[in-house]
Amino acid sequence: MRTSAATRPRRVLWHVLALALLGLVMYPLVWVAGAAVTPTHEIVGNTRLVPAQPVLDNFARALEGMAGIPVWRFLANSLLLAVLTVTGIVASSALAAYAFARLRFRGRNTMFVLMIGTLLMPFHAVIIPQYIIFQQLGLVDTYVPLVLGKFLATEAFFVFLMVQFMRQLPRELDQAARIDGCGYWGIFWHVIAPLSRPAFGTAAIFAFIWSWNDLFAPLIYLNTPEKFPIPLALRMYADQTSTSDFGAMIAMSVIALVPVVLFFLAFQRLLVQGMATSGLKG
Amino acid sequence: MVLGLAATGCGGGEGGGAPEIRYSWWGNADRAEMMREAIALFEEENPDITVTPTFSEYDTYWEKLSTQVAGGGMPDVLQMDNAYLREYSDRGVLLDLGGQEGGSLDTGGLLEGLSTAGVVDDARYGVPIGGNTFSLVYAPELFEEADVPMPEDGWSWKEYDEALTAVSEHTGSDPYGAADYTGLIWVLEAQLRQEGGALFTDDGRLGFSRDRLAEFWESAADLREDGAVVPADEAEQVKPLAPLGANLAASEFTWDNMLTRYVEESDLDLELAPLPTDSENSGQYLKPSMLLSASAQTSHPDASAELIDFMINDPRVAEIFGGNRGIPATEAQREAVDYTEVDQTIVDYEDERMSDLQEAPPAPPAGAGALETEFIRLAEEVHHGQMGPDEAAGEFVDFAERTLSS
Repeated sequence: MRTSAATRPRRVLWHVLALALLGLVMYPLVWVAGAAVTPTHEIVGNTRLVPAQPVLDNFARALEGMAGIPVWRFLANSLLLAVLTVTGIVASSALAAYAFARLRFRGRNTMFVLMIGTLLMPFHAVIIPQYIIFQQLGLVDTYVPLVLGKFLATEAFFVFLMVQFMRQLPRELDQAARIDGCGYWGIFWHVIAPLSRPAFGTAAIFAFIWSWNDLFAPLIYLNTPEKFPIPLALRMYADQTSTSDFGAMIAMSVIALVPVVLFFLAFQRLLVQGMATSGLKG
Repeated sequence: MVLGLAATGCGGGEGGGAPEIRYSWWGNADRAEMMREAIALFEEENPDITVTPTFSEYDTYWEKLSTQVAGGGMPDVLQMDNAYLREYSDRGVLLDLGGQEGGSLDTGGLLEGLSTAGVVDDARYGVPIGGNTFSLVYAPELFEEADVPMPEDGWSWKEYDEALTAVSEHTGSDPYGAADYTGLIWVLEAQLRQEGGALFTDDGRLGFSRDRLAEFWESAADLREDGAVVPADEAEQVKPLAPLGANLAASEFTWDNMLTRYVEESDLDLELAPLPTDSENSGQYLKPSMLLSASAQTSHPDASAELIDFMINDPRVAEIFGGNRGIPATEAQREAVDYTEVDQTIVDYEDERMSDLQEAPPAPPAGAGALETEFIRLAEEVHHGQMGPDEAAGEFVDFAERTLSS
């Protein structure tokens, strides 16, 4: 009763500010959507959101693909890489995290610290030794260098995220499961894994987006154009030494955004839960 | 031809089995499509050689190549930039194609000004694909309207400054008379060459003093103050376009093959003109726009040379590419192209200038690419008024000494 009169204007102000901020954040995205249907020579330096005369040429040129490779091929490659990455990361990180969170073994803390330490190592510091190894194994120009590590829980960020989540699951549940006859595997499979779904969902979304947007690793390891994922193809439209086709590039960006958005929508409920419960700040 | 070479005892060099050549280049999507056609033609003619293509955009191309060089997965044949040629040849990763010259590689058809391009310390580490020359691109109609003398052979820097100021006044700075030309290291190079100097000395050190650089940056200070050239912040806003392409300027110095791109971007009719000079000397030369090199580790040096030879000499390859790789470096390819109107303008311009073009400087020292980047950064500081010409010149010379001596 007493509060409503005082808070009403404050709430309105709050919403107006939030909407203004949203507009600011959304502007680049809306601009991209507008630019995708703007004739290519009008794009650069243009701040308008809606073109005077929308055209679909950009999409036509983007869909043509390049060097005889249709655009769906790049999309399919990206999708395959993303699916393998997500599967690998969720499966292997979950097992590693379970070990760190629940099992007691010699050197556990040291190993945990070492694992966190790998987070501090920039990718560029390991790229050349890594390249030499894969080159010697004859695995360059295959997807193995891009996904092998994902199946071996080398992405410390995801292991850490899941450890944090699993640590706050009540231990009484493990004990109850043990009394019912579960071993380590049974506890993981029947108790920890089902309860950790929000953390798995969060990891899946991040892994998907990172893999989908990754340019550098595919650039280094892939040679055959037929194996390129979409970010490599995207870069080809803006070569500084020749004529750039910004229209086709932006149209292709929009096409490339669709799967990420769909994936996000499908998993966002889990993402929010995961963020709220794992102590991860977004 | 391949059989003949195998018989002359290159068997040791050629690995057993059918040669498979990995060929890597940078460029846009159009170029990838053209390459596919050219490679198909090559494979048709050399059924025993297989070419595996790979490509990326310019920046990422160099990131990838440096990893491959360090990790041992270099392509057999690769596109090379003159600015990086010495860096890679000094590291010993490029093949000296001298052994293939006269055999599977014919360099006899190269234009006179380009015949020594790609040669470093007497070894042929690269073969030019195309050449270009540093020039002025301008909009004749705006110069005419402002009633200033048109650019011509032997005009002076003062005349150019006056012309661009008059154009700016006449158009009310829409567009400006010119882009700020002191942002380009190539303009400095042209001026140095006109004075009889060079950007780098023969032993790979800086060819100019701190004072000379400060003077260069200072030289356009009045133009900046009078608002005769495009202000730094406006040039910043239109990136990645250049001021000329964004209709901000009526003239700009650049490599002549860039005309193709500017014509597409700008609303104005554009022409090429010789550089202004205060001496007898234009300072212009034919620079290799890109080269082809082979890897020192390749197990198929002859097949690699064969591919390079095909790419630079075969007239049908030139027909496929048109102006995409710049104006071809060999006579045979130059004549074969059915040029577009713009490309024809460039060819005519180069033919006309040919007698005035000087011998090209030797391949720049390792680190030249980094120097150009630093030059652009410091020039922008000066243009924005964040740094004085003296201070910036001092910083550049220090940076150059560190970079070139390491």
